[in-house]
Amino acid sequence: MKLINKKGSSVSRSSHNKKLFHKPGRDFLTSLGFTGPGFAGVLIFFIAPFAVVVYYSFTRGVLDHTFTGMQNYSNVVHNSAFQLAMRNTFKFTIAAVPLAVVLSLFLALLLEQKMFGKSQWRTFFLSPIMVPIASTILVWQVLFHSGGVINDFIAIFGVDKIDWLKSEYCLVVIVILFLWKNLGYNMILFMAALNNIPKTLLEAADVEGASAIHKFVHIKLRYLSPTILFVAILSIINSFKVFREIYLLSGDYPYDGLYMLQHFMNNMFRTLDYQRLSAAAVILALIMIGIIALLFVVENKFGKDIEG
Amino acid sequence: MSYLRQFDKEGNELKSIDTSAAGFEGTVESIEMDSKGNVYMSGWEDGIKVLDPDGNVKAEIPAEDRRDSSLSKIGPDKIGVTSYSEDYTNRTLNIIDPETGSFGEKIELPSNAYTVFQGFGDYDYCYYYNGKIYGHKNGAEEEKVLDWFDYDINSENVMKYTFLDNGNIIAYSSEWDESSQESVDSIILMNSVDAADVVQKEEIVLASLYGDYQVKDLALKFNRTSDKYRIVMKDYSEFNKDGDYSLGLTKLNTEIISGQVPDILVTSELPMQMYAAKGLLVDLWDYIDKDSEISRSDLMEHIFDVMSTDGKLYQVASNFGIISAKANKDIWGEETASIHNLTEKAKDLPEETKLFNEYMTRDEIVNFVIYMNMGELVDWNTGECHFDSPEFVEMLEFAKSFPEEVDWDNYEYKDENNLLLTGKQLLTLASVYDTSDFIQSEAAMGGKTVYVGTPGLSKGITGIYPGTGLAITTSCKNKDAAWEFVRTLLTEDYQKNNTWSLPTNKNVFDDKIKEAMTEEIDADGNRVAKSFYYDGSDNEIAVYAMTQEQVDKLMDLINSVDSVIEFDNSMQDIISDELNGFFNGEISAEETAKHIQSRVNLYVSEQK
Repeated sequence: MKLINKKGSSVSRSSHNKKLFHKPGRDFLTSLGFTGPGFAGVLIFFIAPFAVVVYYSFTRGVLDHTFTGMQNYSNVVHNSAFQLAMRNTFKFTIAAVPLAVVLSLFLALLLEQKMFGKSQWRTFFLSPIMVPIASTILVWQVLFHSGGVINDFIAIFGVDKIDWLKSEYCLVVIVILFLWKNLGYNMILFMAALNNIPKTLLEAADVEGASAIHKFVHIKLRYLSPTILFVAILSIINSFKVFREIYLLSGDYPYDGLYMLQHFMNNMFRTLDYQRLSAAAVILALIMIGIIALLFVVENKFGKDIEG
Repeated sequence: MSYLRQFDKEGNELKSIDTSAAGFEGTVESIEMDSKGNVYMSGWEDGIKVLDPDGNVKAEIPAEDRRDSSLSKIGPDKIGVTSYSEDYTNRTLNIIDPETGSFGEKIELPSNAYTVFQGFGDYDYCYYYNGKIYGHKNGAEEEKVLDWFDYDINSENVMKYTFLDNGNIIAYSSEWDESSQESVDSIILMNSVDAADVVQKEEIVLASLYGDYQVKDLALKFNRTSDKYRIVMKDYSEFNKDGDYSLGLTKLNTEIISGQVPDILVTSELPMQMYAAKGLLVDLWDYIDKDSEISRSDLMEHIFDVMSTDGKLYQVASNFGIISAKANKDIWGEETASIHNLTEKAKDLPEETKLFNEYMTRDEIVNFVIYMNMGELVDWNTGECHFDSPEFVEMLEFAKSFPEEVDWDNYEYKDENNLLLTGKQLLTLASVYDTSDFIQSEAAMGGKTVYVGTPGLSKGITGIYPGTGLAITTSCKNKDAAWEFVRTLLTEDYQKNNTWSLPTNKNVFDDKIKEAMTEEIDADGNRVAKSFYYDGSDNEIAVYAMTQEQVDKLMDLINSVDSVIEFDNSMQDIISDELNGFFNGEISAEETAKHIQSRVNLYVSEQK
């Protein structure tokens, strides 16, 4: 197809397009046109507020903008409630995230096999996502209340009843709730990733007599590494958000084993202590960035050869 | 016969209406007249009656339909009475139709519009609220027209006021003068002046959770005499609405956290320990020690020592009351009211004897112990709590033995002093706000009273309620000027003229004791009783002047004070939440104490 230019010479549509889109600055404007709205949203609703939070963390008060240096950070770091929240949050993350990754991968591998009712099982594991959080909490209360179903069950074996949410087992209850809520979604992500592993590679491994473990470690796991990274990041973020469930179960001041960073920040917000809230938020953000950066490094090391 | 008479400014009678036809049996509380000469009369018992210009009753609204008893006139022919909406969130002015005696037009008012009156200029109507006058313009939000305090006038003393056509205000004020014990009446004419002519003073912001009359009066006197500083009062109770009385405190906390810290705080109902732990308050001992007139020895030092935290005094008060528990010495003995002692006594109680009165419920006991023992339970400076101590566990078990709620169906009033004397009750809570409280109790108990303290973890606790207290914040820019104001509370002059409750100035306290000890002898040489105590069964007990023995006993009580009563709603919510399971028998006292310790510890640590 030919186009006539202003000087009367004809050019092909593809060469015309090339010129149009490769004009200096136009590329940038075009991409800005597409990404601009999204970027503006992120800027207005995430980056700008976070910049304000960082600013607050260095000032004495919202209206008293006296620079206080690291005073707010020092207050927060030395606060025993913050230290407890930090310990609990990391304890929970360290327990829940690996379990969320490993168990969802295990389920995905299981459902990859030929088995009866595969589709129904998939729906079964995915269904907790659709259950409203308030209903989930109601069920958990019925199960784990001191006069609840679990205690009735263990009483059959002569075990004394346990106030699950106010005992040393409280974190276990929340880990179970977290896994129940998140395994299904993670599992779907792994199933999609497993489907993308080149079949030829697996067939070649079969021909060469590779064992199932060998195939899993050297082929599947390496192809799954970007998904493992993604699921891990998602699970870490979700683990920091488990406050919602704990808050609904036990309020502003739960048993000290369930007191999370979000409790500290939420209570600071409620008592309008924006400076300490901001300092805690910045510390949390830095830790998150550090963990995610570390995960990227690990993933780069183990998965770069299959990403091309 | 009763008349409504109208005079001109020379005092000549213009009109006289015979209002006898209205036939009021009770007090006429409010009278208004419309432009047609109809007279509207209202009384609590008699309802509203409208009389024509000749004094004949033309309309009537019975008392049961009449809403409030005070009439409001917001226009020449718009006279009505206010009423609340069903949910008490709004008020309505119900305009009276003088022809039919029914309510016609209804005008919606803000919920705080109690005294409504005719507007001036652009204002449809104005209303008075909390020392200020607000005006309402059609289609707009109401706005503040006048704050009496800005003109150095105590709104509580303003009896009547009106806006003149030129915008000036004429007011009638009646002020009680403590020194002369007489009211001083004055007519005030307020006219506008050029802002440039007003002497500019540095402002000192004083915050309170309610409009305290004494502090307001003190601030007005300070403003009238200081040529450099001016106290500006900020009453946070104005932010309470829809039945939520915590909004004022929330607002104050918001402002404090955002850096808008007031210079002086009226300490009643404020979380003072928390503010002190946040470093918000200055140590007033430094100012007392520097003061040229007041020293520690001029004050009831033990009371101030108890009010201090780690040797730092964060508030001063002009007066105090004591709270303890009392018993019959012959029956109880001299033991302190520790939870352990109470538990032991309760075991051996005869069937007909109760430990406390009917008001003492489980929650009441726990709350009382927490408020009175706060110093033992919580260390706000280190953030440590001690709710898991064996004494606290014992207290929970002890509290459980009390009824869940008061049995009002079988309640019958009985004089508690009598019950203590006859051994039917072992203890009762006792407040001593004045020497008269003390000697009345002594007379009623025939000198057998023993103060054993309110139930406490390791011993009975004798606490104080500080009266109006003031604190200076660390961010106050003019601390010396703020102290000039705050110190007034401690002066002899101030406390001599504010004679209620027990004074904190030692000289004033000694004078009070001297006065209580002064015996009056009648013409026949007999002692004259200072007052009488009635025990509810027609027995009249004469109360005579205080004896030296009683003075010593009162001083022992004052010197045994070891706690300041403190309230903390958030802490109470956590504790109440945990107590439900315990009182319902779901968990043990040890477990409950452990849970309380865990949760309250978090709360206290956060405040650090």
